[in-house]
Amino acid sequence: MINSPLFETKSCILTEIDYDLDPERDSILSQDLRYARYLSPGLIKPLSKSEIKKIYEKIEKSSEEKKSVFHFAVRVKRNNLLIGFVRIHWISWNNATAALKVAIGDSDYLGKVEGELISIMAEYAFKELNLYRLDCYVSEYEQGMEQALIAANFSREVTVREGDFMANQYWDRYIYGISGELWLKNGEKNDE
Amino acid sequence: MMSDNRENLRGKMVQLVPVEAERDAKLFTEWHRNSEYSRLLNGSPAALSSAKSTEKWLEKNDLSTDNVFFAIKNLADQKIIGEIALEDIKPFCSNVFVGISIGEAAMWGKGYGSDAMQIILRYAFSLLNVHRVSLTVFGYNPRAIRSYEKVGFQHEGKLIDWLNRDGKRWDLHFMGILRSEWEKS
Repeated sequence: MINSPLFETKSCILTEIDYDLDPERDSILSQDLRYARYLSPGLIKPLSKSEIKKIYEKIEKSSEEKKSVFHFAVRVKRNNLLIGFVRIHWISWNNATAALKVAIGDSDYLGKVEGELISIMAEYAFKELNLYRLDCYVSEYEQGMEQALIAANFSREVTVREGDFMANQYWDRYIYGISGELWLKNGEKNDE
Repeated sequence: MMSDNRENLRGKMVQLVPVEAERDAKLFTEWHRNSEYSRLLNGSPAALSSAKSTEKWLEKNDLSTDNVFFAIKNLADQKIIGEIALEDIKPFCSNVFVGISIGEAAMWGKGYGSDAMQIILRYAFSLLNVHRVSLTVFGYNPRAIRSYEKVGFQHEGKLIDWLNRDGKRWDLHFMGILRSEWEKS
């Protein structure tokens, strides 16, 4: 039997978008401009409920038409509270590569759940999408996320020097990566 | 008084001119028939499109505010020999990506690409006021890597085995040049 959960971690569940409830919550979370940067492809600013809905629609269109995006809302398991999202995007099917985005907008959970989310998404990438490798772009100022990537055995492969501008200064942008072969080998070790 | 070079997009060997969809579509389409060229362009499977569909695609870039797309004109005979573009130009974004291709295979390795790249760097830094310019290049394209090094791009790392082509996996190299580096060059 195949029964390993794809959409559940120790403290979170991954779900589809809820158009009735999520726009209001994401609109509030977007007042944190660090999180707004993950949500919006355009100008970094707090987003209205209507703007959030349009972003969701665009993601779902991309997901349905091009099959190049897999997006999940991240909720706290014990109370269903929306705290951010995870996404596998920029999928290149002929190369079997993609990028992972983990965005946490609730400061109570920032730096605490990234590790389990990286782990469940890598499982999804390598065991469900059958990708060859997975990349993750992270800014120098997102230290919690970087630590979680290192703990998950991702390697820093590229340093885009001064590639991001935030809080009145330039920051390096790192690209971390891991191959499916290494991820699965480490998984086997953990299971032993 | 600004120098001539700042007032236009002219270099020693080439000039960057607007892409004219109607004029260039057939040419761009023909370049793609060269397998080597098509496999240097991007990570998508090499494919062929009609001139009509290429023209439509080119027209989509008209008046774009998030990319600039130029044809590369050879000053010696006024022929279009390639294309160059800056992509990902966003209001908050100080990092733009450049992509270049010389479609006329007879012109490869003769300095036309380096000349075009120097012009577009001048345009990106002195007019668009960006902080850095980035590019990616495949591990099997050492000629392009040498050309980018020549105009001042620095190696910033590579995504190991990112590309699957011709039965092998290849690295995707990242290179970049900062405004401060361009000013010194």
